[in-house]
Amino acid sequence: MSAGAIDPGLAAHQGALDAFFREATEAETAEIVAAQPLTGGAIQENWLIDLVVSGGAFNGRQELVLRTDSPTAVAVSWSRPQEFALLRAAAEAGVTVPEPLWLCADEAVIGKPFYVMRRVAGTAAGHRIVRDMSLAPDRDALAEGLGENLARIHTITPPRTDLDFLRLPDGSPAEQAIADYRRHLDDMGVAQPAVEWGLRWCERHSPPAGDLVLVHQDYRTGNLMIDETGLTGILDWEFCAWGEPMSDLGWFCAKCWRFGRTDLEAGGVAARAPFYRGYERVSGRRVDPAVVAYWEVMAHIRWAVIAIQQGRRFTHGGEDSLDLALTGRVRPLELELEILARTGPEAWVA
Amino acid sequence: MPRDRPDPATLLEQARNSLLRHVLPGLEGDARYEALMIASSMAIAAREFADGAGIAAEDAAAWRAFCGVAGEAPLDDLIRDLAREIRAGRRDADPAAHRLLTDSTRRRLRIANPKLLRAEGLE
Repeated sequence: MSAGAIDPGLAAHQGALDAFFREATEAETAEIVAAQPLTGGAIQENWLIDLVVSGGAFNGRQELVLRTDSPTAVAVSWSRPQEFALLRAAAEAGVTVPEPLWLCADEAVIGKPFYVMRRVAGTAAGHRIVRDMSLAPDRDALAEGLGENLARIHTITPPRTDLDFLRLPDGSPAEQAIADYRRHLDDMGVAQPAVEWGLRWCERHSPPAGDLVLVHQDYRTGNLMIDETGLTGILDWEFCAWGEPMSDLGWFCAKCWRFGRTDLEAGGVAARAPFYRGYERVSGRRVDPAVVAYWEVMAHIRWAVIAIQQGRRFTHGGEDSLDLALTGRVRPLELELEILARTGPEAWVA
Repeated sequence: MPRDRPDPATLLEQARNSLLRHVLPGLEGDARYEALMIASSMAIAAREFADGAGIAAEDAAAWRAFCGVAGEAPLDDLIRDLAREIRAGRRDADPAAHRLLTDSTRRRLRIANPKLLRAEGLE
């Protein structure tokens, strides 16, 4: 980021932010010297901030990310203070995340709550990661490390007073998911027989419930920061819940998150074996491929429901976004094809 | 056949080719991503103009044949009824329903993403 470039979008808040940072870092002075918006989040707004601190434990130049709600925030995800609590819990559990530094719930500073984390190197762009082998060149090691990190997330279990906003499932996590997706479809008033077919299959074939743990619910290529050295940080903690550990493995391996490298079943980056190996070693839990396969069907259903919702933000919500328009037009059909292929008549147990 | 030429599908296809050939090479980052989405949207719209009516008629005929109803029954009602039956467990493992849904999805993907059908060996 070029020094001295402070985007007008943040310039109005610079004085208040400098004061906030001075107090947070317990320094003599703290000054933002560069601030640029980071694009990409459909729900959150992220800013790259360079801060020059003099005195205290943070003395020197600090490269940070400030995360806050975007103007088009939807009510489906956790608030920034809740996300900060999740990020802190993950960091304490030894998960590779951007270090969470400070939370500001005081809306007087920039007009809405925000938190600040240390910036990590690399890219999260899924299409690039699956093709550019200069990023994390040892892909088996990357997958194994991703399995280990997921297992560490799953060491966080209820009850937790710092995470008391997380909902406990009503029934098993699978039953809860099926009920949620049916309700979302009903709320939208759309008939989606192919998605219903998948949901009914899930209802009839749900595996026995496993342990109840913190599930990330968006642990996949595209939300993982990766550079030449490997994984640098797991992002996007806004959909966490108490749930079934294998649901995260299914989401990660689902064909819809391989970014074109469908042959590499662990997120388009490697085979499943190293990913499962890393997960099993750290969690002590055995990975049953049939249970993961079940959650992969559920993953396609979940993404289909979300894609339908995103499309309606364009068709019914008036949001000016070609991305939303295309997502709603194309993704549900692609996902339905996969759901139907995995739940043909032969896949039903009498 | 429209009186004024080129027809909309041809015009869209040419606009898309022009975008890809003459505009896209000069773009990077977010602008490039946006241009690729524009190109995709134009391709979908062009296919819809060219084949949409035929595919929709084919799809409606398949639904009516499956439901055993005459030509006037509103398609939306048939779709809604099947969705309800599936949820209620009255179509579990029903091969004809699965075939109908798969064929209907494939038909609509011929407009939305024919590349996927080719990649899956379905076209």
